[in-house]
This record gives sequence, structure tokens and C-alpha cells, in this order.
Amino acid sequence: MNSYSMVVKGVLTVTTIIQTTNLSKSYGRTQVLKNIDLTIKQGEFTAIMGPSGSGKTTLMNTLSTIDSFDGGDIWIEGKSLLDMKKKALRDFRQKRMGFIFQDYNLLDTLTVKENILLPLSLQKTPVAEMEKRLEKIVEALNIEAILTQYPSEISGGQKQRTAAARAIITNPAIVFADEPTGALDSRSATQLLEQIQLLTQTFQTTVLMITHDPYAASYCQRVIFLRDGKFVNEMFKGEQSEKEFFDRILTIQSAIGSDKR
Amino acid sequence: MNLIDLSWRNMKRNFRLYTIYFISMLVGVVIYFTFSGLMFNEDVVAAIQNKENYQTVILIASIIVFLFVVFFILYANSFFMKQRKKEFGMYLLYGMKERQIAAMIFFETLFLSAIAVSSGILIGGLLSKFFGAVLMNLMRYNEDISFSFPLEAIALTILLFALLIVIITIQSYFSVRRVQLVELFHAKEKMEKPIKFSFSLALLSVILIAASYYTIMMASETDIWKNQFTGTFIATTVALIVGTYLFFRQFSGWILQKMSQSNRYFSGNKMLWISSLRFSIRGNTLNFTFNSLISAVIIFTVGFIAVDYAIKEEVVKKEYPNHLAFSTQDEETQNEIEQLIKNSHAIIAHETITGIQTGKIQNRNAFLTYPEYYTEEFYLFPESQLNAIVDLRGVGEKVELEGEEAIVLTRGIDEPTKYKSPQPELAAFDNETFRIIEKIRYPLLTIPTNSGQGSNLQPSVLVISDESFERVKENHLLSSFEIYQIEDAKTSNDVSREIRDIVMQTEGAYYSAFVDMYSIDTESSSLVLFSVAFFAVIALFALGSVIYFKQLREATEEREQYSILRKMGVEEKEIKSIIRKQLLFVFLPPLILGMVHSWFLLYYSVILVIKDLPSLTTIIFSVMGLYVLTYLIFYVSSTSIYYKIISEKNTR
Repeated sequence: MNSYSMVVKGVLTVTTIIQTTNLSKSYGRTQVLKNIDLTIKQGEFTAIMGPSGSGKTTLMNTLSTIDSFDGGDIWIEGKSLLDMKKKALRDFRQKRMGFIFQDYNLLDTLTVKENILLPLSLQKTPVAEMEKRLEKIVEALNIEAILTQYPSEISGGQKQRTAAARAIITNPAIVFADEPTGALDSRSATQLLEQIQLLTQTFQTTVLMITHDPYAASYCQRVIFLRDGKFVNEMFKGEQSEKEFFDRILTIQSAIGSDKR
Repeated sequence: MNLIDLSWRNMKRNFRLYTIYFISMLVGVVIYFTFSGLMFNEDVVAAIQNKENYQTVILIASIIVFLFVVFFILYANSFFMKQRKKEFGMYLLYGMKERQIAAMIFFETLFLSAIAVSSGILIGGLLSKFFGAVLMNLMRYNEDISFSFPLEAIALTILLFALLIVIITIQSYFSVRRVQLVELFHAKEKMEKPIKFSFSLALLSVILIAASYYTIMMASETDIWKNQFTGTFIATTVALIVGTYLFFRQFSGWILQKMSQSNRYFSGNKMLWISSLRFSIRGNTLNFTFNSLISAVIIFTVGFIAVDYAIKEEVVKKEYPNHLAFSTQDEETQNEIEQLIKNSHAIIAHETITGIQTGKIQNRNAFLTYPEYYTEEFYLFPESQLNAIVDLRGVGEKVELEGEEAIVLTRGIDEPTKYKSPQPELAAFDNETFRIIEKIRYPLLTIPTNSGQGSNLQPSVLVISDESFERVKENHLLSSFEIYQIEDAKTSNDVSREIRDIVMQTEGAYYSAFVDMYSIDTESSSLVLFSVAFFAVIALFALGSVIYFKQLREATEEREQYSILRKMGVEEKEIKSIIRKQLLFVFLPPLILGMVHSWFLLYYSVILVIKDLPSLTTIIFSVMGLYVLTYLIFYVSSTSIYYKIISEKNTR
């Protein structure tokens, strides 16, 4: 099983980025992930929602190769994780995956520009190439003015946009975002979500976001509800507006019972 | 849960922090006990010739060690208290009183000190045998040093720690009172921007250092050091210190700033360690300055003293070329003495020289450099006997004299001085006058070493031609001296003492032996070398722990940064390389600057001045080599500790 492609409307080839079959994982006797089948295609902006302890973070950690799994398999860009050695996994993580964390995880001693370029520096990318990629991303995320500033001098929203820029500058196959709006005020959160939306459209970046927040989820094209390690529902945004989608998510969420933060 | 229980739990939970603190205490005890153990060690005291001198030097040294141990342990304690600030804050928040916390600290300190003192005394006792042996070896005695735990030393060590416990408890009480509860609720202090560096200040640092080097270089060419010592000394020292400080604050910052502007900055992990260093300059400047200045002082002092020690033997050999020299005895005594010598040391050569003794000479001041140290009467020796001694020693130049010509032997001049005509005259007897053609430095009969029995004056010697000698000797008083060269003269202490006792029974007899002066000189310079080396070890240890504590704190602070790098998929190999590069920048510049400082000082105050010591450069380079080795050990162990700390889970 090498490559998963399918033809939509006969013109656009959409590549499958991640596919899991029967994915399971246990910690001791408690099973945290139960037979999960998930397919994520290129350019998709997907949210995984669920109450605390539903297995959201475990799912993301196994998908992002940080954690191991005990049943089923994961294919990323057509490669089975079961076939990859530890070194290959790390390499894959470094080159093909990007991460955005709730607490930004920016290095205090580096400027915004240096923070964004860090992954490329560590991969020994030529400087000209770095600048070229930086230029495009900086424009999309609107962080030109703060490039020479240090993290201690900028706002939370700016920090998270910097982290987003750092996550996508390597042209990863997929970006994992763990509660990216968790520490932001609503204005900054909206701005960030709109920008991530824009990135998925212009760069065909694939984003998998974990969130508690129905408002954040309403910016995604697809929302998956997780409970007790199982998929319990899945919704597509389709042609709806964010507001309409938000109301639907709220309804479903209260139906399956979610924790309130 | 009572206080003792709480302390016990603290120790178990925070094992590493307590271990570090405990080791600092232990080292303090070991150092202090080793030193005071030496002071009271019976074997060492028995071997020492000059006991008063030994007690004074060791007493002064042990006071310095005492003060050092006090300051060192207080420093360690303040580090320890800072690390535990949060813990104390929690206790206060839950309603404990400051006095209770101080009491808890008192119990902990008491407990740790009790273990440290008892195990430290054991280790110190073992070490003092070793250090005693080193000292004996330096003094070239073959004394065996047994293990000893002198009661006085144990009492002093316990006293020192009793004092320390009191100070630590008071210090802790005040530091607990200063804890602001509100700090508990604040996030960690944010790092700000790196400081800006100015090119002109960076340049100034180089100029200041260059200027002080230049002034040191001037020592051999101009007289500024001789004429205005205090002024020049203060100016040079201040320039060196300020220059070193600015070098680390501005020059290194400026270099890093330049590096961060280059294009290659973005390749590899360069960006990470350079930026981290730029941030740490603010907090590290004083530390670096302190390190390089201490390094300079340690290398200079140890090098200087080691050279002084090595050169002592050469100096004594030059000043006391006769292994044994004394007034000739009657035949029976003479045989007895010769037998004594043969029994302990093989005789290499023996010469008897005979001179004519004059009355008091009025104008001797004109020829002798320090006349007050010479006998008022002269001894006239024929040229042939001087030449025979030159042959015997293999040192010096032979002389040739005719008629009334004569040569004065004196000390205190470097080159022979010839007299131009009209040459001065010396009236040895009423009708015998000699023309002095030259004065030379040649100790035919050296300064007496009769340890206070009889006169301490060196015989005044005039060398005359053989023909004059034959003529004059007829009607005048003759004095003979026996000169022996023996194998292994350094160990002839005992036989020298025996012969001296025999010879000095005669009033006004002359006695002088190489070994007497050699023992006294070697003993005192060994003692100084030993103390200085001991201090150097202590200072190095202090330096090491200051660096160690600093690394510990920095690594703890940077833990989060490294965990971010790990999340980004940076390999362990890469992380290790970042730490290595970053710490290299912390260790190397202070070491290099300190070495260059001390090299300039040593070169112009020792190497240029002392020319005829072949082992000179070996000594200085081995001192420097040892220093570099110690620093290398600091560096390697710091990197591994740093890596260990940042690899731990963040416990905050």
C-alpha cells in the first residue's frame, strides 16, 4: 500500500495525508483509543473535539509519532509507521510535521524571525531559500512588523502567529495544533483562526487541531467528536457560515455531553 | 509532622541539592582539618629544623584557610537558600513561623555538619599523611609521616563548624524573613532583550589591556617601575581589571553581535548558542572577570614561587661552594673528623689552604662592598692556592699575579672590577704594601654557618702573588683551612653538626658548610611553595564550585527552552553540541585571558630576570599545563551536568 490518491471531479488530485485503520492504544488496562479509522486529506482543516480524558491528546501524540500505539496501523503520506525505525520517525517528524502548542513554546532568546527560521537552520537549509519561504509566510500571517522583536515584547496572538509560521515554514505534510487558541483572548483567537484558514487555502497546508472550544472548531471544515476513545460523531461545515456551524457544533456537543471549561 | 520529620523528608526528596551542599561542607572540613592536622603532626614538627618559622607560616596559612572555609560555606549556603526560596514561601503561606523555619534549618545544618565533620576528619587524617609526605619531599627530608588525628586539630575543626552553624542559622533566618509571599504568585522573571554593545567600549577594553601589557613590558627597559612603583602598579592593576571587565561585557558582546549579523548565523545550531550567550552576558560578566583575574593570580603566584623554590638550590650552590670548610685542627682531631666524614659521605676532594693573617686593616671599606659583614683582619692567600680551588670546584677563573699585585675577593658585584692607575694600595704590614689591581666575586671562604657560636663575619681575603707570599709568610701568623667536597652534600646535615661541634670548641674558629644554609633555605621556601600550592588548590576548588553553582542555576532556568527544542524534533546529538559550544564560550575566554595576563607578568618579572635556570620554562609551562587540565575537567564535567539537568522532567 504505497499511495492513496483519488480523483475528485476528474481534475483535482487530492492526496491522503493520514490514514489510520483500527488504531488502538492502552495505558495498562485502560484502553484510551478504540479501533479508530480516520482519513485526513491534503488541505483539510480538521478539529478533534471531546471532553477531558476522551483520548484527544493521545490520538494526536500517536498520529504525530511522539507516542506509540498497540493496535492497528497509521499511514502517513502512504508510509506505514509500523515499518519505520526510531531514527526515521524522528527525521520524518522534523521534516514532515509542524507543531503549534497552547503555550507557544517560543525560545525567549531568539527574535521572531530567528524563531521562525530555527527549524530550517537546524536542517541546514541555504539562507536564500530560508528568506524566500519566510517572505511568503510573513505576508500571510501579517507579522512583518515584529520580525526583529523578542517574544517578551509581543502579544500572545503575535506569539501564536509566530509559532504557526515556525510550524509551516518547513512545508510539512501536516500541522498538529494543540489548543492553539487556549491562551488567547477572543479577538486574537479569531484573527489566528482566520489566518490558519487562509493558510490551508493558499498553501494547501493540512491542519489537525485539538480543541475544547466550539468557536475555534467552527472555523474548521470538519469536526470529529471523540468520547471514551471512540469516534462518536463527525460533522462537515460545507457551505455554512461560521455562525451556523458553531450553533450546530454546540447542539451536538451538548447532546453527547462535554465538559465545560 | 514535626520539624525534624519535615527536614528528613526534604532531604530525601531534594537529594541532589542537599548532596551539593553536603559536599561543599565536606570539602571545607577536609581542607581545614588537613591543614590544622599538619600544624600539629608530631612527625612533621620533629623533622623541621626551624620550628618557630614553621609554626608562624602554618598559623598564618591556617587563618587564611579558616576564613576561606567560612566564606565558601556561607556562599554555598546562600546558593542553597535561594534554590529553596519557593519551599520556604509555601511553609510561610501555610502558617509556619519564620522562627520555626530557622529551627528546621538549624536541625538540617546540625545533621549535615555532624556527618561532614566526622567523615571529613577521617578523610583529612588520611590526606594529612599524604600532604605531610609531600611537604617532607619538598624539603628533601626522608621522614616517614604516620597517620595522625591530633586532638587540637579535631577541636579546632569542631569549633569552626559550631561557629558556622550559628552563622548559617542566623543567615537563613534573615533570608526567610525576606521571602515575599507575593513572589509565589508571579510567573518566572521574563528574559528581556540582550544589552546593546558599543564598538567604542569594546575598543577601549582592548586598548586598556594592551596598555597595561605595555607597561609591564616596560619593566626591563625604563625605570618607571623603579621610580614610581606605587603609581605605576595601581594604574596597571586598575587598567587590567577594568579592561578585563569591559572585555567580557562589551568586546565579547560586540563579537557575538557581529556574529549574529553574519549570513552564516542561520546555518545549523549557531543561532541557538550565540543568542543564548548574548542574553547571558549581563549576568556573567562579573563571573568571567573574576575567573580570569583569579586564574592570572593563581598561575602567576604558583609559577613565581615554584621558580623561587627551584632556584634556591642554585643560589645556595653559588654562595656556598664549599661543602665543608673549617679551621685546621691538630692532627688527631683532623683524623677524627675525616673519619666522621668518610663514615657518612664519600669524599670527592680535599684541599688545605693556608693564608697569612694580618692585623686590622683601616682602608678595607674602599674595596669590600659590604665591609660590615667582613672580618677587620685580612687573610692573604697565594695565587696558586686560589687556582687550586678553582680547579677543585670547576667554577671560576684562574688568576696570574706578579710582584706587588693583589686581588680582593668580595660579594655584591656581578662583574670583576679592574682598578686603573693609580691603583689603590693596601698596607698589610708595616713594610708590606700591595697594589690592588682588581676586585672579583669569588667566595673562597664563605660566610660562617656556625649557628651563632663565635663570629658571623666572612673572612676578608686578599690574593697575592706566590713570590710575595713566600717572602711575607716567614715572620707572620699563618691560618690554615680545610676544604672538603663530598658526595651528596644535601644530606650531610648530621655530620655537619658533629664536625661543627668539634671545631667550634676552639675560640674564634671558622666553620662553614653548604648543607646548613641549604636546609634553612629549602625549608622556608618549601613551606612557602607548599602553602601557595595548597591555596592554589583551594582557590581552584572555589573557582570550580562558583562555576558549578552557576551552571546548575542556568541549566535549571534553560530547561524549558531545551524541552521546546526536543518537541521540535531536535536530536540529542544536536542538543549536546549546542551545550558544548555554549559552555566552551563560557570557559575558554576567561581561561585564555587569565593565561595571557599571567604570562606577561611571569615573562617580564621572572623569565627575563632569571637567565641561568634551565628548568625555568619547564616549571612555568607545567604550572600552566596543570591549570589548563583542571579547567578542562571543569568544562567536561559541567557539560555533562548541564545536559543531565536539562534532560530531567521539568518539576515546576
